[in-house]
Parts: sequence; structure tokens; C-alpha cells
Amino acid sequence: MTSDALREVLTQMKEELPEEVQPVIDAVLAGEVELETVWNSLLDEALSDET
Amino acid sequence: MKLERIVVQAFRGYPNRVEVLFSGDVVLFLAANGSGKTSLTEAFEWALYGTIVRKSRSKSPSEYKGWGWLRSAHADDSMATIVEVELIDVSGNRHVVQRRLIGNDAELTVDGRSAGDVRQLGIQTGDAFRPFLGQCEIQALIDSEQQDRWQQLSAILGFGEFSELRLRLQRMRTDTDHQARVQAVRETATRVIHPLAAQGEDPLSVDPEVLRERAATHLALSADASWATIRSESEIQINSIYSRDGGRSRPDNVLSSLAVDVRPTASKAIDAIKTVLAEITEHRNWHARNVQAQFAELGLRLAEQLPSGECPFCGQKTLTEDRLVKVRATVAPTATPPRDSRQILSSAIVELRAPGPTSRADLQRLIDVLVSDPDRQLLNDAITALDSLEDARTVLIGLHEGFQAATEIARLPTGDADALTNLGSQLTDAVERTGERYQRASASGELVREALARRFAGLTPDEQKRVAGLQVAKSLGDNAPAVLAAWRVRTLQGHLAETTRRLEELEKREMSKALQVLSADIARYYEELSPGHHITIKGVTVRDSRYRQAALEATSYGRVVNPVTTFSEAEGNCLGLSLYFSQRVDRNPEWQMILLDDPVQSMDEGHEQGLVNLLARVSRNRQVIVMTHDRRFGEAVDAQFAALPGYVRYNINHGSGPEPHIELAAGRLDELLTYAESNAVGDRTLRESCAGAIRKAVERFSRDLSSRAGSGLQKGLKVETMVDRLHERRLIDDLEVGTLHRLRRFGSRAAHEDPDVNASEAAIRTSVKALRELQGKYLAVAPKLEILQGGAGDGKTG
Repeated sequence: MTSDALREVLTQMKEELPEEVQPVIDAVLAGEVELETVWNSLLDEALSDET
Repeated sequence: MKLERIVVQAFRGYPNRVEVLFSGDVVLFLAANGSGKTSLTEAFEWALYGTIVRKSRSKSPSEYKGWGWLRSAHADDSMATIVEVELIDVSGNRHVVQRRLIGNDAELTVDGRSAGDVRQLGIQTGDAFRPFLGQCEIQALIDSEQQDRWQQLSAILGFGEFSELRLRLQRMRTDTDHQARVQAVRETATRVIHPLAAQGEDPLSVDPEVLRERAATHLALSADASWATIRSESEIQINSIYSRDGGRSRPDNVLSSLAVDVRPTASKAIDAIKTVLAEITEHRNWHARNVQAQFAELGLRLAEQLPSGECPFCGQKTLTEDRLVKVRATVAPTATPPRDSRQILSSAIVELRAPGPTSRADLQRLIDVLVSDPDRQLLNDAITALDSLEDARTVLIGLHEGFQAATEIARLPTGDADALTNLGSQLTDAVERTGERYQRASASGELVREALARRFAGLTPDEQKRVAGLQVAKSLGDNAPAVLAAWRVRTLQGHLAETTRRLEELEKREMSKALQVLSADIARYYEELSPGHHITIKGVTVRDSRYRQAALEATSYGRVVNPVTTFSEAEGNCLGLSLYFSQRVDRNPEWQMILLDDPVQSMDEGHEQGLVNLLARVSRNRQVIVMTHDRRFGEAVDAQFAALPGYVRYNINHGSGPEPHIELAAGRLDELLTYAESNAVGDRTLRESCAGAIRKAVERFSRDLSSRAGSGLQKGLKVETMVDRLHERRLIDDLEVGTLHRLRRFGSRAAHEDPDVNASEAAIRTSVKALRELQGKYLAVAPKLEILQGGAGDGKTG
């Protein structure tokens, strides 16, 4: 099993997951070190006042 | 990738700088426990991966904070902690990886440039692709508890990244920068949705779309009405209802559906206060009468002793029968204290202590609803009155308890009447103060009640109900941003949880697949290491419990077994080695080397020989590095590989101090000469081991030359005889035979601590130089031999 395997699994998983959470998977696939920053950004967007 | 060299400085067991060459095909380190073998493995691991198995597998990781613990305890303060690893790739290019301890952190350079990791060298950094097997790795797997085993198996099988990602995703759900904001929107949303949620239902689980549709239906709007429409329409409809009575009771602002009325509580409390005041007065009167009665009784006793009613002081007849009747009347009715009255007093105080239905929190909540309402001031006044009342009640309760105690004493003829009078006065004042504050609270409550009543004035009960419903709809509309944000956050967190669950599921699936793929190899390696035994790994099961307990699914000769509970320690060790060879050796194409640190723990001779045979097979296409404390296993490795030209053996010994001494006990000519040259500057013990290397180098040169010339000198021949035979066959000249004999004698005597022979740096360097010249002349290029021998050599190497 290689890193490619994780990438393959995540790519497959991404298609099954809702759009909202896909940036998290994208961050992992892109090798983002600060994954938590991506999550905080998503939360920030969810908490915005836009209705 | 092969390992060429490790340099350690002030690292773990090495307080000073030590350079160790690994450039053999099979390299054995034989040393007692605590001599520095594992420090070399850890140096390799730390330099390349920035981790240490000892730390990552520890059950008490808090003892391994940062990297400061890697520094040698005996290192000089001026010496930095550095590890340098030199590697050679398949193309023959050399790469230097250096990691340096900076404070409690570390800094990495690859080929002299700062780097985050070693992936630029084409090396994968996951656990499953590390070419070494750490000393405690197998033991940690065997000893692991079920909840740790999944993590460990995952790492060993190459799924460390899965686990690491899964744990990060789990942590992210609750550990975010926005926790306070998340909490705030959750609280707001809960408050406004609560009136619409069913009993026991989590308000946050109600879809805002459903809420919006319900509000739209209540407002008789179309189902797709927006939140803004709901907000404005609910306000219009509220105003419309109030405008029916000509606008007299039309509220200026929102009206809460909360029913707030402090009046009954205040009325009840005021009644209790009146009782308390009455009872206090009764007590004081009783006490006064009691004192009078006691005085009258004394007077009557005195009067009985006096003749004909004369005053004892003035002698006049003042004690008439009429006056004595009055005195007797004063004594009799006050003989019994008013016990029932005291009980009533206590009950009244208890009543005052009990909190009313209108709490401060209720009022505060009402204020939140009536944010910009002019009646807000009324509510603030009510809160102030309640706060003030609370203070007064606390004082009153304390005084009441004191008063009761004083009353008991005052009943006695010798009782402290002054104390009772004093406490009675204080209690009366406190009750009056409390009464005043109750009056204020009551008045405030009344104003609030009237304000609320005004709002509903002129409305029928149905209209009032309708207004309450509209108010809920308006509250939803006003707080729609928080309701929607709470829902989005909840949904996002749900998706994250689903992602984590899915990843976990896939990790389990992939692990099982990997184990099935590896199963045949594991069984083969296991049988090779443990002849006569059989195991088939079927997969791994992970229980869906909180702790994710994991178990290996395995069979042995067709029967289901749990290796953890069934196997002996040695068998478990063989299973761990089988996993290692199947994954990290066979499925790790980047590395052409293996490094085993003390692989034979608890193994018997048969298992050890099985491992030696396995290493012999692996060494055909990989560099094999073995570290062991086990002398029997070391000798078995020696016996297997001693004849191999690329075999290198080091002995590590501890002298009197903390510094380990690494002695090259066997090796190729190049290693022997490089070792002697690079350690010539060391202390006396190290220089003596360099002299030993010179002696071995003479022997190695003679054997290599004999082999190169195809002369086939007998194995086991003494070195001096071998040198003479080379001379007799004209393979070396007269001068060279003398040089070789001289170098052999120097090496032999200096290495054996002959006081007449000094293993000085200069002597070692001169010896190395002479041997390098001979090597260059006879062993570097094959045609030279053919010329010297007149074409007799075949040019083949040994």
C-alpha cells in the first residue's frame, strides 16, 4: 500500500461525499499540511450571516 | 538506496563524534546490551524520518516531549547534537541527510539544503516503507492492547497515513478556531426553535427548511416564501391584529409569548412579611408581659409578707385589694410563652426564602425578546428590584435564626432580655426593609404585567394565541441567520463524521486486502523462520466500539487461532519478522537494504538459524545490516558470511567511561583502510583497534591478490605464510614482501597493547598509505596482474 493508495481511496471517496466537505479531501489530495485551516475556513463560511 | 555511513555526535549513547561505515554487503554489529547498537538504528530513523519508534510506540509518550531527550547525557555543552546519514542510490549517487537538534526541535538538510522531509530522494516516509525493523516494534505489537493494535497493524502494513488522517478528522470536529461562534449560534438557534420542537426532540435536528415552510404556512404564505418575507409578513400580521381596536393597544414592538407575572409571588411574599411582622410584635409583647408577670409575681410574694398593705418603702397603705387583683391578673395569663406564634413566624420566614416562579433569568430572557421595546426599562427595574430583594432576604434569614435562639434564652427567668430586644429590633427593621423591597418588586412586576396586558388588551383569546404564534414565526425570521448557520455547521460536522467513518471503513477494507495479499508471503516467511509451523493470516477485524479493538484473523493448520493469545514470544517474533519481510522488504523497491535491530529476542537456535538462512537469501540482492547482542546468533551470522568479500563485522565495547568503542572486526580492504584512516585521531583504545584493522587489511590484501591471480591459496593459511607464497610466485616483489611483513607485525603488536609498539596516528596513517599503494598497484586494474604474471591471470575477482 502506498501513498498513491490513500490518494486513490480518497478520490473514490470524494465522489460519494457531499460537496460541502469535498474541500477537505481536496486539501489532503493536494498534500496541504494545514488541513485544519481548510476546515476552519469551511466553518467560517458556514457561520457567515448570509441567508 | 543503500546505507554507506552514519555519523553521530552527542546523540543518545554517543557523547562525542563517531563515524561508522556501513559500506559492506552484510554488516554485523555484535555488542552487549546498552553498548550503542540501538542508538545507531535510532540515528538512522531520526535522520531520515524525524521519528523514533521508541517514542511513537511508547505507552507513556509524555516522557518523550520534543526531541531534547535524544541528546547524550554525557555530551559536552559545546557539542551540538547531529546525525548524518550517507546513502547511495541505484545510480551510484551519494546523498547526505543531516538532522540537527535545535533546542527541543530539529532541523533537516538533504544534500546540504534545508528540507521538510526526505521524499525528494524518492523515499516514501510511511511506516510500511522504512527499511529497518526497530528493536521494540515487534514487541510493541505483541504486547499491544486491543485498542492499540489496529493503530500498530495499520502502521506496519502501510496504512499509517490513513490512521493519521482519520485521527486528524476526528479532532477537527470539536477542536476548531470557531468553537465560541459555533456555541453562540447553537444557543440562539435552540432558543428560537425550541417552541416548535416536539418534546424530547433536539431543536437543532429540525431542518430549517421545515421550519421555514411551517412559518410560511402559519402566515398563509406560499411554501417557498423567503425568510425575509416571513420576517416582514409576521410583523405585518401582528400589527394588523392590534390595529383592530383602533390602535389603542397596538404594541410598538415585539411582544413575547412568555407569560411573566411577578405579582402573585410578590403578593404572597408581602402576606408572609405581614405575618412575620405581626409575630415579631407578638413575641416582643409576650416578652414584655412575661417580664411584667415575673415582676408582679415577686411583688405579690412581697405583699404577702407585708402587714396591712403598707408600702415597705414609705409605710403608707398603697397596696389596696383592687391593685393586688390587677397585679394577680398580670401574672396568670402570661405564664406560657406563645409557642404556636413562633412556629407561624418560622413558616413565614420559610415562605420568604422560597424563590418565586418569576426568576431573574425569566425576566432577562424577556428582555432579550423585547430588545428595543420601551418596556425594557420596566423589566430592568423589575430585575433590580428582585436583586435588591434577594439581598434583603439573606439578611432577614440570618436575623431570624438569631432571633429564634434568643427567644429560647429569653423564656428563662435568667434569660438575656436585652439580647432578645436587640435582635428583635434588628429583625423588625430587616423585615420592614424586606417588605419595602417586596413592595418595589411587586410594583415593578405589576407594571410589567400591566404593560403585557395592555398589549393584549382588546384581543380575543384566539387573537392572543394567534399573536403568540406569529411572534414565534417572527422570532425565527429575525434569527434566521443563526438558525441557518447552526444547521450548516451541524451538516458540515455530520459530513465530516461521515467522511471519518467512510475512511475508517476503507482503511479496514484495504488492510484486510493487504493482509490477504501478504498472507502467502507471511506464511512462507513464517515457515522459513519457524520450520514445522504454519500460519495463514486472513485479515483484521476491528470492533465498532469506542476503543476500536482489533484482532488478527488467522488459522493454523486449518484451525482458527488468535496469534496474540496462542503464540509464544518467539513465535510472535517470527510473525512480526514475517510481516516485516513481506511488506518492508519485498514491497519496498526504493531500498536495497534492510536493517534489523536485535531481531532474535526469545528465539532458540533453530529459529536463529532460520533467520540466518533467510538473511543469506536476502543478501543476494540487498545490503543486510544486523545488530545483535546475542553472541550465538552473531557467531551464526559470522559463520555464514565470513567468507563473503563484502562482509563487515563490528564489535562495540564499553570502556571505563560512557563512550562506546566500535571496533572493525572484519571487512573488505577498503573498509578496513577507511576505518583505520578515519579513526587514527581517536584515543588509545580506538588507535589500537585501527592497528588491528591494519593487520586484517594485510590479510585481506593477500587473500584478494591471491584470488585475483587465481592462485587459490589454501583457506586458513597463516598470513605470513600467505605473504611468502605470494612472493614465491612473483606476485609481489622483494621490497613489498618486507613491507607486508612489517605492517602485519605492527598491526598485530600494536593491537595487542605491546608497550614497545606505539599505535600512533602517524604510524597508522603511514601504514594505510603503504597498503593503499599496494592496493592501487595490484588490485585496482586487472590487466596489471596479467602483465606481471605474463598473462596467467584470468582477471576474475574472488
